[in-house]
Amino acid sequence: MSTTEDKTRKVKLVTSDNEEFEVDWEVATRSVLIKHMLEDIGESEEQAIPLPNVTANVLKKVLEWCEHHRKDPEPAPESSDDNRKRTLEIGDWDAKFIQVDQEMLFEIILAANYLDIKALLDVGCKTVANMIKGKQPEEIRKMFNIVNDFTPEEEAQIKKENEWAEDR
Amino acid sequence: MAESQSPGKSLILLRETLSGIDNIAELELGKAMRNLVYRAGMGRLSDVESYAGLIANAAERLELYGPTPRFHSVLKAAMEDIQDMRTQVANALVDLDRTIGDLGRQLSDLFIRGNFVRFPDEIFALIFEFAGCEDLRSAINISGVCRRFRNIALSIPRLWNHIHLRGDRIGEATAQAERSKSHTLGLSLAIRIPSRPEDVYGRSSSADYRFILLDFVRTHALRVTSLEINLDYFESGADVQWSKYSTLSFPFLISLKLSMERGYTIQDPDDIDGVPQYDHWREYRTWDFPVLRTLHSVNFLPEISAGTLSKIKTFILEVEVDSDDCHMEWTLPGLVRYVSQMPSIEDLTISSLDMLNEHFPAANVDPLIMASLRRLSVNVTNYRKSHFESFFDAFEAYNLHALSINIRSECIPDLEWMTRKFWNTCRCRNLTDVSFIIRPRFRYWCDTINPRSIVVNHFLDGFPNFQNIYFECVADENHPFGFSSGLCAMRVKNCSLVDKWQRVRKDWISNMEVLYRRGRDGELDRCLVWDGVDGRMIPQEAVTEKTVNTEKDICFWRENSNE
Repeated sequence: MSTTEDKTRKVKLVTSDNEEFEVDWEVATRSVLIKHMLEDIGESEEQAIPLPNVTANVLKKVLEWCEHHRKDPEPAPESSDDNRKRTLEIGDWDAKFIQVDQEMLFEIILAANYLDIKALLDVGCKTVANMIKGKQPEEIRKMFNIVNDFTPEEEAQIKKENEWAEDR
Repeated sequence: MAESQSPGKSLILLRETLSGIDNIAELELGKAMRNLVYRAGMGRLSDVESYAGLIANAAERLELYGPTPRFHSVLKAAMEDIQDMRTQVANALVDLDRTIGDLGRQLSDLFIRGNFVRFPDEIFALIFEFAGCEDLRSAINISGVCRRFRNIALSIPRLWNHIHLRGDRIGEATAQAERSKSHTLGLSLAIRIPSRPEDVYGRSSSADYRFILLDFVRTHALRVTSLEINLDYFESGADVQWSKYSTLSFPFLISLKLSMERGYTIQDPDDIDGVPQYDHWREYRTWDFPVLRTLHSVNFLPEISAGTLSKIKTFILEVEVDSDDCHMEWTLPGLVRYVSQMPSIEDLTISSLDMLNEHFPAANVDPLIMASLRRLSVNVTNYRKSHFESFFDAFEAYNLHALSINIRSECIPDLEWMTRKFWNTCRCRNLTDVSFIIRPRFRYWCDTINPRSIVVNHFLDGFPNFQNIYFECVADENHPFGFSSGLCAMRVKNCSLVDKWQRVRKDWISNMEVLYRRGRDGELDRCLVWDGVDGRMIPQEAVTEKTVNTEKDICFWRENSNE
């Protein structure tokens, strides 16, 4: 639970390319990783949090998301993750936010995963899921440059499975 | 500027006319431009700047020679050169923007093709869950891409735990169940087999296959949380031994849907106070559902133990009605008696509530006080004021939070009366959410065919050279206040190419609408939205969305509502 003091507190983050960002505690702690690191270092306001896996341009984008969602309820605990309903719906703001080139999308997903920001990770993964949903295996291979490495026997099994979803 | 007077030519003219002006820069520039070869990452913006600068300098030098009339034509040509260059640069900017977009896309595709596989398995697993959850087609496609994808997909039980058992495909259902078995709970099992599967699957139906299906259910009963069964297929002959299937236990079943094509009661028709008993396969009556909370029944009232019914939180009764032909025999007293067995009910949905006289016998019904009910949703097919009143008098829910009414436009003259009587602050003091949908009675014009079909078919059939139709009409299920909840307009282009045989079904437009909605996940085509947080003023953009003349429609329906 955050206190009033926490909400006014500033947090320094340092990216892999050595750029420093000073953000509100409430914004930074959308990341579970940063939240835990802040808990570890205690009240030391001067100490910057190093983020060696995130570059400045990606962190800037991630912080834009965190700023918009700063008032959102705390993320659900890990145990309830399994019961989360998987829908492809993305909110209006998030949909606009994630309209980035694929390189940035890729980096946002990796950053969200590293920083442990579940809701942002969901937005990124839903966007990729929308790209592959309903596509044939060959289309997915072509889209992501994936080599078909199945043996003929496996191919036969897969062909059989294709009948599963027919006439549904 | 004349096409023969390119910027270069003007400069040559300048050079010939004016001796003493240095032309070395021009020669160097010309040479550079002739040798200009594009190399990625080595753009030559400076060349363009030099060229523009040269012309500008030349013009300035001309001024130094004094404003004599003989320089007029040369200065004019220089100015035209600059103007022409400006136009060319503007065009080049448009081309550059387009190229930047194209290159960006290519770069993006190239990046993702090279880096996508760098995602760790857990991210792929999350992506696959989103793409394939409750979509077996996508799950199968993903698992057929490559070995890595297959291993990841097969390790996600959630992708495989929605089993729809159809026809004789018990083998695939078993394989699916195997894939989801590490998911100890959460198996969703739907057995939707037509009452005569041999008609569909071309094989003789045998009692044995019914046993195979029930064996499958029994095998997975310990981890099923959602079960859906069409009971028609299990309707039995007297010689079939069902007893071993009458003791199934579903310790984690939360949601149960039981359906029948048509529910005929077998009880004494004069016993209007009793809970109706239906003629169907009844072995499920003794099944054990200790944690069942959601009961969904189609065309009958399931005979579930009183202990189980007493814990039901959500009850959905779906009654199919075709052209005033109701698929279920029911009476209001019987329905009240049935629901009275659910003292914990919080959510009640009745769709569709047919208000024909046969369901509302003259006898008085004691009101059922439903203290726990929070949400009530009723879809009324045939409106009758007195029966509507009887229904809402019979179900008293003073703790209601949400109310949803879907009703035909014949109710419009009674709207004021019904809202004042049933949904006032004394009766529903906690009400916070209301959904009220009034369906225009377009079938007033014709009993079977929707007017949009009449109009559109008329033109498509009668005019062989017809090309385009745009037709706007509020769909049947829309209500009269201009808020559309369905397809209001349709456009048919290149009519002559439309396959006539695609339209043999009477209500092909409705089918098209269903497809339209399916492709958009049931999305509504338009709706006015006014968010209170946006302030007190109605936003201008919302008003422009309004497409239906409110008063005219209401007047029309009011005038015709008694017919």
